[in-house]
Amino acid sequence: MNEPVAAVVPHRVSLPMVAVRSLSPVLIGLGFALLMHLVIGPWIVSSFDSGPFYVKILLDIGINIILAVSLNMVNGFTGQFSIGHAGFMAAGGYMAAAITYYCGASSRIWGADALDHGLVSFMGDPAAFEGAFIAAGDWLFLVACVVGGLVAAVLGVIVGLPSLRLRGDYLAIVTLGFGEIIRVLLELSQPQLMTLKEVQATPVIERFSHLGGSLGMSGMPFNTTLFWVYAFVAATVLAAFRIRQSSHGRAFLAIREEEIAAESMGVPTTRYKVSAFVMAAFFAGIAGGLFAHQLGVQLNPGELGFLKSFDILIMVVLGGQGSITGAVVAAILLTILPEWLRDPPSIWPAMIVVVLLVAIFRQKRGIKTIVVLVIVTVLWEVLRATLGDLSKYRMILYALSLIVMMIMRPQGLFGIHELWHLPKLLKRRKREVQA
Amino acid sequence: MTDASLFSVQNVSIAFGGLKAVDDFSLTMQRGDLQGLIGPNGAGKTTAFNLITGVYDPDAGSIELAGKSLLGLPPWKIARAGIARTFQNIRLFPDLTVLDNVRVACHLRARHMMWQTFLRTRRFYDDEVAMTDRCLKLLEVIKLSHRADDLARNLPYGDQRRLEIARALATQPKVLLLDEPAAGMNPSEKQDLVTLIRSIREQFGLTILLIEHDMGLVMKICERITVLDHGQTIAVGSAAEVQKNPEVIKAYLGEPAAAES
Repeated sequence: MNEPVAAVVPHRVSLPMVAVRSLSPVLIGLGFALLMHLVIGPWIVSSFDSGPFYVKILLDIGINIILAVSLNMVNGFTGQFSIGHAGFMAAGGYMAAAITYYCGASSRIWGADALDHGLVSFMGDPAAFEGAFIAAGDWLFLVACVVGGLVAAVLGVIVGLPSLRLRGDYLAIVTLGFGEIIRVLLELSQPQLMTLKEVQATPVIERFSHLGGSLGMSGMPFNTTLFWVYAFVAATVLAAFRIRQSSHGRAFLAIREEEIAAESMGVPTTRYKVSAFVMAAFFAGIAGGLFAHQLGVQLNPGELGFLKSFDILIMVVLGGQGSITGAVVAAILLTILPEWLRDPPSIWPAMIVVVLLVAIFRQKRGIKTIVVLVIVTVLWEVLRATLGDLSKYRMILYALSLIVMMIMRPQGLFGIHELWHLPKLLKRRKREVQA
Repeated sequence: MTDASLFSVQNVSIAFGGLKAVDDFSLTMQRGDLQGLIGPNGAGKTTAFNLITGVYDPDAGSIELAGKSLLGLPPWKIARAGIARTFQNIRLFPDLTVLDNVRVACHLRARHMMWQTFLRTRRFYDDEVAMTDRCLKLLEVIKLSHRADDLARNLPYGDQRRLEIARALATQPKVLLLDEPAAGMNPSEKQDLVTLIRSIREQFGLTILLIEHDMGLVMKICERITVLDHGQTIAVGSAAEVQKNPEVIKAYLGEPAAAES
């Protein structure tokens, strides 16, 4: 009955265009993961003394990016306040670990018969590797991670459902409780089965209750390499961008902005809130799977409690709720910062550059910033000189820097903006100053 | 009631605690009607809107659109059935752009599923392009296309009110409920609004129900007016009839002896 203006005009986008636009980011993501794994990783290991440690930090960064970006789907896009994200991570991680451990990939149990790894899961010089690019053990690992994600997603439905009625602080408490329930359930699980005989004597389904209790689980194959981590980082970031820049994503944002209006405009808010939880939980579950298969990691329920949830939450808040690149940058910064504080370097040469830049670009308006920077630098150098080893105090410094950050930029590093909005924002600020 | 009526509300009531916010409210609209709902502050006008749009469930009565009952449906289903509204206290999505504010309201007619969003299938792109086109046209109707990329929070007040109308139009409604669209506007903006309301009614074949405090505006454009006071319907009729109704005069100006604010 409506006039043309109100009718959806049928429109066809050309197929090659669709193919290019939908596939190219996927290929770029995979390419990036391969680049990290085959070029950057080996280069870091061969050119630095503590190369393997740096690679480990890169893995941590990747896992934290997945966690922060996925939590951002709930806290940033949909505006719900979840502080139980580590619960999903734990659920997914344990599920994935149980699959690889009990289904043929753990060398502790299966010995020489354990499924082998291909190049994608090989941590070392790729030139020295002989064997398939991707082998049976890698496929099992991939399946385990995805199943872990799916299990977490099912839990996401269960946690999402109370969000029908609760908002704000009340929802936060529910998610917190959920995370703790997962942790306690894992602590109450049966002891891990350590030998082939024990495993074979246990029915397959029952094996999944032997998750090691509070002692945790160990002996999983070490599949988590830069390739897997950054492939999933790419998948998560891509999914986050695609959902946000879409009609469904705008429905999420509308709920964050003004729930009553969103509902009145035909957005089934309940369904979307639950979907947000499900998506976030899925990626957190995958992050858990990656975490569980890292070299030298022992899955431990205590480590995946609410402290971990808060770490992730801090990344989201610091990056700016709703900003995907913000979450990525915050995850990188907050993973590096505590490590960097172990052996604090002198900052004054860098500070001179920063002060000069501020002086050039902001001139008189930058005086306040310069004063703050100078005070910080002097304090830092005095601390370094008097205490020497700051590593004991690093968590205090970490907390302090968060406090300073929240006072100076309560909306987070990026607010709701993305990295590439920066030039536009600077221009706008300049215009405002001139006006 | 009659088969010809597009939208009918029959004997709807709701009480909050002991307070009968809306009592025995009835309203019938034919296709293309432009009716007004007026009354002093606290008369229950917005509550009536909230009942129609499913924010509250009525204690009694029936609400029908084109013969289908809307009773007990959640607000998003009522929007899909074809009733759109604006809000008295503006409820835009402040940190979304003007264009996105309108595009959110298109979502209910989207034909692609969420998984197609992740895979970016052809249907996703088709939908997005069609939606964006349509929303840009709607922005032209309210003369805001030049601000499509600005955040809604940065619009002046009058533009925000018009954006709310465009957003409601994007849901492709049969019935449009406007809750004090002229509040806070100056006389020339009000004049523009009158023109806008008339033109969208023509252009989109809308049936419009309007809450308004500005009597001049209501009298000018509404063919039929319902007057509420303390939840009761005290008068129904054309502008001229309602203006002369002693009940209405009493409700607005108070009884000669009693001072009422």
